[in-house]
Order: sequence, then structure tokens, then C-alpha cells
Amino acid sequence: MNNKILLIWFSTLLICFGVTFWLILPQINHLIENSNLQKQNTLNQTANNNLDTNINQLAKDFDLPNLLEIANTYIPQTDQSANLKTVLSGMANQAGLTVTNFQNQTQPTDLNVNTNGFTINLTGKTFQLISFLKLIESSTQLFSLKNIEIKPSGQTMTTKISGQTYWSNTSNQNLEELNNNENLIETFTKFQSLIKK
Amino acid sequence: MISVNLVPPKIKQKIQNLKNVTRAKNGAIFTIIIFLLIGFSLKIFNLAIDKNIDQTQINQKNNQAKTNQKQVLAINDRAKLAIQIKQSQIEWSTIIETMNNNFNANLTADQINLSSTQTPNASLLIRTNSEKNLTDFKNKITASNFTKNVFIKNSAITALANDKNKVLKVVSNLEFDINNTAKETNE
Repeated sequence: MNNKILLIWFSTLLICFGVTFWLILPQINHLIENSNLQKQNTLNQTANNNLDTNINQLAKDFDLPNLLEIANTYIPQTDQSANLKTVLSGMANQAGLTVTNFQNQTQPTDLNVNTNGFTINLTGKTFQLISFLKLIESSTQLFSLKNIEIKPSGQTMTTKISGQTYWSNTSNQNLEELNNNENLIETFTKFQSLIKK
Repeated sequence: MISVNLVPPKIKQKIQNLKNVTRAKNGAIFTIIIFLLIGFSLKIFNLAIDKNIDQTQINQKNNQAKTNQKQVLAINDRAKLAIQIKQSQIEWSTIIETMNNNFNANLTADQINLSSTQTPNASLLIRTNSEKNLTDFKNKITASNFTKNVFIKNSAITALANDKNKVLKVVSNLEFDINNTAKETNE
């Protein structure tokens, strides 16, 4: 009879061991993991609270992926000099001007950005030249026109324009800038109004 | 009252043993139930915590935050550069359009040189038949808000030969600088 009692207790022990091993221990481990995770999150949240709030606010106020795409078109990340002739000739044709000559030039700049210089010779009428300049000024890519020489000749005029475009493959990764939300909003708003023109 | 135990000791022992086994069974069932209760309570507790701390959600949030951070930095970098470049730019289309609107049949430009890097920013070689036309044009250009330092550099006046009406030929160099602050004010 004592054997029967021993068997009952032994079976109970086995069942309890099984319950502990398969049910209780995994839950305890999970509990410990969760506790660590919570601690880590609390630490991260405290450290990045200000930063995240600023970025989340910006993400709410601005369509960041779209704005980044626009910014990368405005000042591309790669050298676009190969397309420059096509782009400018396209705009000249759209304005009704005829391109008589085009030259690419590389030139230094004061700013921390690469430039592609160009000189384009055109023939056409005054209103066509004005249209062309307006197309350049409102282009999705940033252009700077340095010199414009106009020689009217009867109804038409010959024009020589030299200018430059910009590209930059570097990006400032200074996280401190993200702390000043007012500056970021001001810069983003200015940039948006600039590209809407 | 006198009670007489008539149960034989063997049966008594059996009853006792049966009682012991029953106690052991009950104790075992109770222990197992306790263990199961502990186990399931922990599981329910963990499930409740899991609702609050969803690792995938946290990872997604972190990844989104990092993506946003990178995007904000990249946009900020390019936006600042673009604003800086744009501030020093001249809207040539507006200037040429204004000049064009102020020319008339008696006033012809033989050469127009515009430059954002040289001073003066604009130099116009103008041909007309009277000094008044030239002065009017100069006054109109001066009145526009995008010019400053407008002046006539050289002016050569010659009477056209064989002209009974004494028509003059005035060839002049009109120069001016671009007032880029006007652009900023308009913005």
C-alpha cells in the first residue's frame, strides 16, 4: 500500500515537473525578457523623447518621402551633367527657342556642393527667351544663371547664357540639428515655398 | 456508553491504508492543480503584458523613426543648401520682361549684358533718336524695385546727316545693379 502512495507522489512529482518545465519556466523567461525590454524602452524613450517628438511632428506636418524625392531632384545626389544638354534643350524647344550651341563646363564653387557649368547659345524672340528663363527658374532641378548676353537683330535675338546646376552626394548627419524643431520647420517651409514657385 | 470495536485489526489497517491513499490522491490532485494554476496565471499575465509590449510593433516603430530621422536630415541638408543658393539668385525673367515692356519703337537695344557675378549687373547699349527717350527709359528702370545705381555711362549724340528735321542719334550705355533684397521683400 505504501508503494501505491509512493507511486502517486512520484507521478505527481513527474506531472509537476512537466508543468514547471513546459508551462511555468517559459512564462518566467518571457516575463524576464519583457521586463528587460520594458526597461530598455523606457531608457530609449527618455533619451529620444525630444528627438522623436520633433521628428514625429515633422512627419505629421510634411510628407517626408515626397519632400525628400523633390529635394533629391532639386539638388541631385549624382552628377547629372550627361542629361544637362537634353534638359536645357527640351526647355528651350518648349519655349520656342533654337539651340545653336551647348557646352558643359566643370567649375569650382564656394559652397559645399559640386557644380556642373554650362553655356548655351540660343536664337529666338524676346517672349520666347522670357518663357525659357521662367522654365529654368521654376524647374524641378536647381539652376543658377550667371551671365546672359543678348544681341537683338531685327525681330529675333541671339542669346548666350552661362550658368550652373548643383549636385551633392554628402549628407550632414548631425543629430543635434534635429533637436531644434523650430529651425527644421522654418527650413522645410521655406524650401516648400521655394519649390512651389 | 460502551463501544466495542468489533472490526478486526487487518480490516482496520486496510481502511487506514485506503484513507492514506485517498489523502495522497487528494494531495497530488491539489498539488497538480496548484502548479497548473500558477502556470496558466503566468501565461495570462504574460499575454496581458505582450499586448502592451509587442516586439514587432516596437521594432517597426524604431525602424520608422530611423527612416524618418534619415529623411529629415537629408531634406534639411538639401533644403538649407537650396535656400542659400536661391537667395543669391537673380530672377532674370522678371528683369528682362520689365526692360522689354519699357522699350518702345524709338528705343533699341543693340546689346544687353547681364551678370550676377559682375558689377554692374546689367549693361545696355541703347540706340535712340532723342535724349528724352533715353531719360524716360532710365527713369522707368530706376522706378522699378529690382534696380539700384542706375546711371548712363557714356552717351554719344550725333545729328544724322541730310536730316531736315534734325533727328539725333543717341547711343548710350545704361548700367545698373540688381536690387536682390526687393526679391526677398516680395517673398
